[in-house]
Amino acid sequence: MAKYIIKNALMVIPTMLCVVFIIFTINYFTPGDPVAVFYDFDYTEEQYAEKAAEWGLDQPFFQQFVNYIKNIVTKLDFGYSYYSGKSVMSELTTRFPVSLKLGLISVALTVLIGVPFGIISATRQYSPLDYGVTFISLFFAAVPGFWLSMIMILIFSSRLGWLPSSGLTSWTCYIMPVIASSAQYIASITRQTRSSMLEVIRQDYIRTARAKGVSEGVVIRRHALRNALIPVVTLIGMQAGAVIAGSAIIEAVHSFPGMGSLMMTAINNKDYNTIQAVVLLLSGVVCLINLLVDIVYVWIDPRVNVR
Amino acid sequence: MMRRSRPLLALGLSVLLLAGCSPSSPGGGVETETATWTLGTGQEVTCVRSTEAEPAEKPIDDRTLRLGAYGENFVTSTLSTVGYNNLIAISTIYDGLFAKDFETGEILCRIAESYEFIPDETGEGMTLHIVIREGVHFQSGDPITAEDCFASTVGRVETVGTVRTYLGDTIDVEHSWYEGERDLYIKMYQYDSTILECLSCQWLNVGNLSFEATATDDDLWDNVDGSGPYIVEEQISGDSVLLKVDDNYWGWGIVDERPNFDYLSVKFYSEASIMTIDYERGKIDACIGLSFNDTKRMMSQGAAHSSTRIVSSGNYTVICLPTYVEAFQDARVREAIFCAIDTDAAAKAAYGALGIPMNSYVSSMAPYRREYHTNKYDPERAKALLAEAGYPPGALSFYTVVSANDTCSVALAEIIQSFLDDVGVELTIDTFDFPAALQMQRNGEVDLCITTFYTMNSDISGCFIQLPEGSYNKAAWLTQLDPELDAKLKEGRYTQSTQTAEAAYAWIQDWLDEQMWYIPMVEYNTSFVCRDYVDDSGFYNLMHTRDIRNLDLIER
Repeated sequence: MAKYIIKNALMVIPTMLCVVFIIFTINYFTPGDPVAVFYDFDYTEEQYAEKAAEWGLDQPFFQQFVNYIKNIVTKLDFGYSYYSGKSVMSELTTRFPVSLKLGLISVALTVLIGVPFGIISATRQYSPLDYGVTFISLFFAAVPGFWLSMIMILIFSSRLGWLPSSGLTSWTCYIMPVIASSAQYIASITRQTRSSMLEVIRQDYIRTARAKGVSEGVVIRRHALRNALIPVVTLIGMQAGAVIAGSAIIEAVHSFPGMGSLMMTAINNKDYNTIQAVVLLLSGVVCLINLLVDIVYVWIDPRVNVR
Repeated sequence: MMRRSRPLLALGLSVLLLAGCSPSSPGGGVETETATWTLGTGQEVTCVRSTEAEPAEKPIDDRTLRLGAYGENFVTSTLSTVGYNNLIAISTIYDGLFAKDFETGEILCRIAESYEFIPDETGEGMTLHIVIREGVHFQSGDPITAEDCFASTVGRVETVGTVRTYLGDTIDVEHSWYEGERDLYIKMYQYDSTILECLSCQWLNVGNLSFEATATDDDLWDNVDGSGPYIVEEQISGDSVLLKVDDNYWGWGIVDERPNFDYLSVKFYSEASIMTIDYERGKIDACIGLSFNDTKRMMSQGAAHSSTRIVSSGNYTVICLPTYVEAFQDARVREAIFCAIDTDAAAKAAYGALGIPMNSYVSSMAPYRREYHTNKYDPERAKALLAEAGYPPGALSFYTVVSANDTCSVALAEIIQSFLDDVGVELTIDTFDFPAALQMQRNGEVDLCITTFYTMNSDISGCFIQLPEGSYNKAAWLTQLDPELDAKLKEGRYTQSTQTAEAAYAWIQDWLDEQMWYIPMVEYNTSFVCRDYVDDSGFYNLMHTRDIRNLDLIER
């Protein structure tokens, strides 16, 4: 087990290096110049040269890349935001916990709602309940999160005044962004759980368990669900990565001060250092979640370890 | 079948019920009165005020004025003012030597107590002697000295591009100096009619030299030592800034009256429509920078217990026809482009209530402004001119870029594309993020440049700061075409005679109208709404956010 975890953990390093390299390269070659942005496009040649040298932008591409990696590894220094003038690390420290909290609550909600409804839907196939769950999950799977956000704001903030439309002043501020960012995933998890369960409950070993007189609850929990969970866990892992990474548009709609809105501002303003740092952090989160998912696989299906 | 569809029906009904049964927003159908007037600055103000006899009850916290603004917050160093919303903090935390009264157009002394222009004995140039007010101090208690003022004004000519562009030909940095604690001498190459207005600009706010030299990045975020009446209490990245009224501000009773509130909170929104919803729900007391849809709705329907006003900002968008594009060397092609576009319709369609079609080549705030028939829309004449110039339909195709973040500019570009298409000219539009688009425009990588002229001062020379060859917008360079244009620009700005300035600026505007190198499109309005318990009587200029200081809560 330890060997398995170490092997998967080590895979994270080249993956992240690749991600940083790709983002660094894209940033480097897209139009726009951070020094020009810093000076509001009005600078002398000396000023330009001085600032470019200060930021190391006068060096060759590979040297810049190596310096960037070196600063991160040795000093955990992502540089300064070209736009806000604030240290990127300091921005991440403020914004990441907000998105992390949003992401974790969303994932928890997804699991708590999606998995049980998927099971119910599968075990009562073709019942009105199954049709109801199928309809609702298809509806939410088709509805984009930002649209749901706007409709919820219209109803619950503008019309009814029950929930705050924006900001982060109390726990109620999380309700709408959490629903908006998890609705599509709840729908997907419900659908995935239903289809996996339907496949599993038709297997011979389930029939055998029932024939042996094992209660239906135990059959579903111990024999069916555990085997049906692998694709579901993969999906949950993907969702966790995406939501913690920051549901940029949903955060923007709710003026939520998380990673998504930071990323949007950074992209819109050519803030290379922030873009790179956010992407690096997010890819780290996704890799970490994938690692966790791999570990959960072993727990769910010990044969994975053996293989 | 019926039984199965019952839950769905119930769901649908409950959604409709939720959407429909609630009290309507306080925006619609209220009695209003409308007033329009012109400020001393030349700006037009339109105000729609609801006519309830009694002002509304302030819903929460009587001692805080809660403002909503569109955008993000930033560090509060006076040297890092790049965006709009950080100017809200900058303009409340810091003071300048002078300030412009947007109601009258006058330049008023702030940290400066008095000033005089002293002509040089040689007859070349002059010196602006400014006496710093006695007893002025920073929020930390440190005295504001002539050295601080020197560093914050003269010192920034060399370091801040925008200041250098405006004042580089005016201020002789090397020969300017200060004496003692209160005397600042700004050496000028010649008299500059714009100098005091420039010194009243937020870029030249006075900062604490010793603080800024040692301040860390975090200090400049929420522990800044300002010279103005508000202290940063808390700043949350991407969310809000809470400012506290400084009871020890040197200027209470001298240049300002203390407001009736203790805190000014500014909440930043990435969606202007969400800001309006929060306003309508009573979460904030006032909004700066409404979207044009919300502005249109509030101006037409009114909003309960509210005063909505739109004010021209002085910023305007033009289409530059760059001299480096061969086709535009032919005056007939330039005129054809002019005639192809219905500028009034385009401005209204793209900017709605926030757009004022232009009938001049300069902003409404510019003295010596002259009106022209700038909307020359005549597609038949455009086609004839193009044919005469040897460009049959489909022969001309141009390329432009606009910022994807600015939906109004994108809409404007698309409307222009459609007008040009009608006369057989193809326009390809690319959208980029704001910095990339701006850089491409300024480097001359576009054939047709839809750009905005911002002004640091209202003078016509400020409006035309992009025209001289070598300025930061290559697409707008015109002075290389006619040396007299450059001479007149300087003549208008560097004279003490109003007649000379008027004649020079008239010549320039006539030249532009005759040559048709750029098409004035639209001047922006900015809009603001506040509850009737907010005193907005001194709030006029939203782009120069210092006017936020003039907001107050009405005492009951």
